[in-house]
Amino acid sequence: MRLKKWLAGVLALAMVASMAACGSKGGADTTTKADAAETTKAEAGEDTTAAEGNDGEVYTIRFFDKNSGTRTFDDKIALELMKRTGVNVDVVNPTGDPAEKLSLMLAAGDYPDIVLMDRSSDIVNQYIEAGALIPISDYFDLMPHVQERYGEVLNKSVYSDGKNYYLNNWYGVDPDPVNAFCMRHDLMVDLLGEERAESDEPFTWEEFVQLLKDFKAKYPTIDGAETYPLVIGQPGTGEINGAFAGANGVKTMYVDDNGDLHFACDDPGFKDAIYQMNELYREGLLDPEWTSNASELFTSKLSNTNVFGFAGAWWGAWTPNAALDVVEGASVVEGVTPHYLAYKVLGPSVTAETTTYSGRSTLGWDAIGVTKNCTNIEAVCKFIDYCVSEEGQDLLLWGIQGEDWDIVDGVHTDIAGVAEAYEADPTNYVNENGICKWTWFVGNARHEDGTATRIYYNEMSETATYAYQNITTNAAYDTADFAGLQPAGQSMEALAYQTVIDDFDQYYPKMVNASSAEEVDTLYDEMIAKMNADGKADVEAYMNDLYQARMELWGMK
Amino acid sequence: MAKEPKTIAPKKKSVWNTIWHQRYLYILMIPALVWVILICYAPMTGLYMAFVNYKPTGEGYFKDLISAKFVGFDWFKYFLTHDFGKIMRNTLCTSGLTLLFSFPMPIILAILLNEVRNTHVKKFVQTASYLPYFISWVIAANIFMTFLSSTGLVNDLLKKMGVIEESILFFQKGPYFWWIIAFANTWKSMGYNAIIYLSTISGIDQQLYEAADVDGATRVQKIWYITLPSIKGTISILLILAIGGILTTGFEQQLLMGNNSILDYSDVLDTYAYRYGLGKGMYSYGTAVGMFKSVVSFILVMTANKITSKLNDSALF
Repeated sequence: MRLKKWLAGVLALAMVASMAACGSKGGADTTTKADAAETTKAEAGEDTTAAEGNDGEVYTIRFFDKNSGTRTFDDKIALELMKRTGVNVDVVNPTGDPAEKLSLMLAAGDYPDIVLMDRSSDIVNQYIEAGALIPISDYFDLMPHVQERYGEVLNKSVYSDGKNYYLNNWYGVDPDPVNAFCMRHDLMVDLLGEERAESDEPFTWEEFVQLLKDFKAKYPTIDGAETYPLVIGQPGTGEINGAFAGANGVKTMYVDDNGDLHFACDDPGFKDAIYQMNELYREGLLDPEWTSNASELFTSKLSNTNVFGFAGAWWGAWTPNAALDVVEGASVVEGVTPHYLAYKVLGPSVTAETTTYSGRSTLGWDAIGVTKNCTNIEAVCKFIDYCVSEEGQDLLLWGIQGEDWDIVDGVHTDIAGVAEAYEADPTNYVNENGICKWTWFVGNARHEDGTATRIYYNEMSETATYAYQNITTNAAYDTADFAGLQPAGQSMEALAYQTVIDDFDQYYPKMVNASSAEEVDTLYDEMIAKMNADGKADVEAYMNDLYQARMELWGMK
Repeated sequence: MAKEPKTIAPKKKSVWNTIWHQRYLYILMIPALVWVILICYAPMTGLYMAFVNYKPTGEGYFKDLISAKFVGFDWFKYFLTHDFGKIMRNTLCTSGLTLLFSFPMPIILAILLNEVRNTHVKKFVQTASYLPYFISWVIAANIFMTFLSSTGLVNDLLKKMGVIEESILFFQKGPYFWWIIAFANTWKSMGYNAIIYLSTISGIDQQLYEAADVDGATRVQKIWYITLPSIKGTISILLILAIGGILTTGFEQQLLMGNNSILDYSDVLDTYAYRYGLGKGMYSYGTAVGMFKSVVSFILVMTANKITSKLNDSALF
């Protein structure tokens, strides 16, 4: 009996202890980070007044980054950033669908100090309308680097009340390539010869189809597996594959001759793009299961030796190229890499000058806003201003000066083989090393010495070289004109918008997978009729009004 | 003259007396009561959101909810006039097929397991059959997608058997999706649900079987005349619950295995409410769709309960 009582007592104590340990887990973690940052700050002898509260505690900025996945803020760049800015940073990961997380945080009012969200999504306007974001422009005098480096971008990003509620990520003029038809270099050399494979001359559609057919005829199987001439990723929302859109001059929205805005499906080039995809599907040249190719499966397929090429963003080639590098005998031509390299293909009604492969927004991909839950705006402003500065950007995107890079002969130079190590294993290297892991407040402009903003893109790899060589010229357009025009939040227009997009999303794969070109026409007409019935015209009118007002505000009308 | 014995009428206790008398039981009940109120009933105040145009303004949930513009049945009307038909068709077809397979399968499995005499085999089959229940849908979905891909096991097998020449693209044909979900649901829940029937079967009086043996009954006759009638009550109650949940046809499986090319077949009430409510921040609309589902489910449970109580004596309430 005594033993039982004794045991019960011990168990109860153990339970209490374990519960206390669980309860203090987060706190302990934060303290460790805080201690680390505090120690390094003290070593550096930095002014931490703004970051410290009245009780002398270092302020912790909670930062929601939709792109952070499951990454932890504990690498050497993260620690250095906290040391230099005098704050602690607690990154809030999306843990699932970022859009859902943002929506839930907004509904509950439980958002952290800073939120990074998709700039083109209506969630940004929802946050602004809900009063969740503070007008950051009220604090620009605390952030001299923001005004200096953002310049005109700030004027283009103002809300209807004339204030800025967020700072752009990946902002500024950007001629970088985006979409391309990325084909295996060794197979291109084998099928076309070295000269054509390495030329920057675009392919006509007929040439491209013939190339895919030749591949299929010569390589029905590779390593015992059936070959796929072209693989594409599963459909996105409200848009068609970017490479096919680019080949046919289709933008995210269509502006008619009168300057009025329409959904992209009204663009004359849209149907050409669908015809082309359908032709490939019917000829057995397109991966028949493309609609299920989620990003992991897509990358996994490309990492096998039985795929000739893919259509999509050229940087999708990084991981498969690294994977193919370690496959023995992957290349069919000795001395030529089995890398996917970018090529331009022209649709029937476009010229090399009118393609739209590279839709880039001068206003950036993401919006980074400070929320009203922030209790130390001075500390946050100091942090943001440092991140925006050239020194901050170099820390985030080049690493630590003297360790990863240095100025050699007046030029930013990789002194630790960072780019090479990255190319060998992109995902793991970024996670462990921290360079380019936290891409915040990034500008697209190059350094004054002409080097790239990111260390990995400075010494151009074969993959990047081809993308820049073949896709950069006459392929770019600014998507900022059309971003964020969709009806925000909860309204009948927003519901109608979503229904129309649903209609599109359902018909797009059906059209591509149709059994004939005639069926494509029938399905297209059905889709337009369904979209019209669901309020396409009203939604377009709503968006067009905003678009016209925007063009006027930006002096483009 | 013998006196009639005096009967003492039992003292009628007042309600308060009863409560006082059972006070410790009531005290023990308090935590559960608080839990039910806080977790099950308090959130129901949010149903009001379906009748207003709720927009978070950061002033607090209740303040935003009360000050939101009242729109009556506007969200319901939009749903009923736009996507209702398609979403209900998908929900009912998926659920109907799931019910068709996943309801009888655990009964069959339990009866078969009960007939297995080898304990090791019985335990092995039982464990193997309820293992899928503990596999997450992420893994289960990947298993199905791999098996059913154009180069997967199923297509390979069908080709080798000469049934097909070209691979079947299972995830690009809408109606196939309903069957795949029904099969996946059954595979995942069959073993686990069989436990309930097994426990009921183990409670059947063994003398009935012994008597049947004396009468020369075969195994099938014993199943038909003893086992099945004995578990009839459990079957009825589980059927009522299954019918009540007919509109809850799944969520993760649709999201994980569906794709845009079959969205008009894979989108069910739950995924639709999620896409609009959380995915697009249309909280009121999502709530309206969710509330619609709850009301229909409630009606279905009541109807099923009524029918079952008429047909036999077993009913939930």
